[in-house]
Amino acid sequence: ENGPYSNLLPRRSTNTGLPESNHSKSTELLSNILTPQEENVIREFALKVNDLQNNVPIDNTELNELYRNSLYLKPKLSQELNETFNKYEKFMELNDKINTIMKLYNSLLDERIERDSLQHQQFQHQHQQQQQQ
Amino acid sequence: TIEELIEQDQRTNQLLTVENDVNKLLSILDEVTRSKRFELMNTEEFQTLFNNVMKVKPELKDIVLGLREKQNELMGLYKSMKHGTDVYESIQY
Repeated sequence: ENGPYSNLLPRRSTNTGLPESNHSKSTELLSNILTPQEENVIREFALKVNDLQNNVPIDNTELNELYRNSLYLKPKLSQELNETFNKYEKFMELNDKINTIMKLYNSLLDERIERDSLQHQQFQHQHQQQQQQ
Repeated sequence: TIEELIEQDQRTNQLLTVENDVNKLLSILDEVTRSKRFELMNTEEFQTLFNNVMKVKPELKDIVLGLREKQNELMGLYKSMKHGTDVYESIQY
């Protein structure tokens, strides 16, 4: 950790923004979700870079730190983006399937009622004929 | 808050587990359509599957809208990060 190039390595943020009691049980879930604090790091970095482009005087140490932290978050952001796309597709597919189920169910129910009603009419007709005889 | 994010994520994953029930239900309805054995729709299994799926249905719209919003937000963050790192690296090196 204290190697000659350790200052170049991205640093993991230890502040999850969670109360201590919830920390352990949520750590695993948080590894897949970008926290609001982490999102702010990315936004702040982009703002600082904009300042840099617009020749606004900036604290270089702060910019380097934000750059390192942003780099650290890149795989997590990419993973969450991928998961969100996948989930979106799955839910769209699920929605289509449920719509199909509703259509099939309603049409089968109609068909069944129509069949039962026809059978009932036939039965009544037969019964009337028998009575007439 | 983070708790809300985690709760949302867990609920989304939980809802996806209904996929098995949806597939089973489709398969039964397909069988009824082909064979006209309407009594298959009266079984306890069919009713349970149907109820499970119908419980999820009202939540789907909100979930899809939420995921679309999240996609846009994450894409915005990704673009910000990419722009930031590209500019930073071009200036630094």
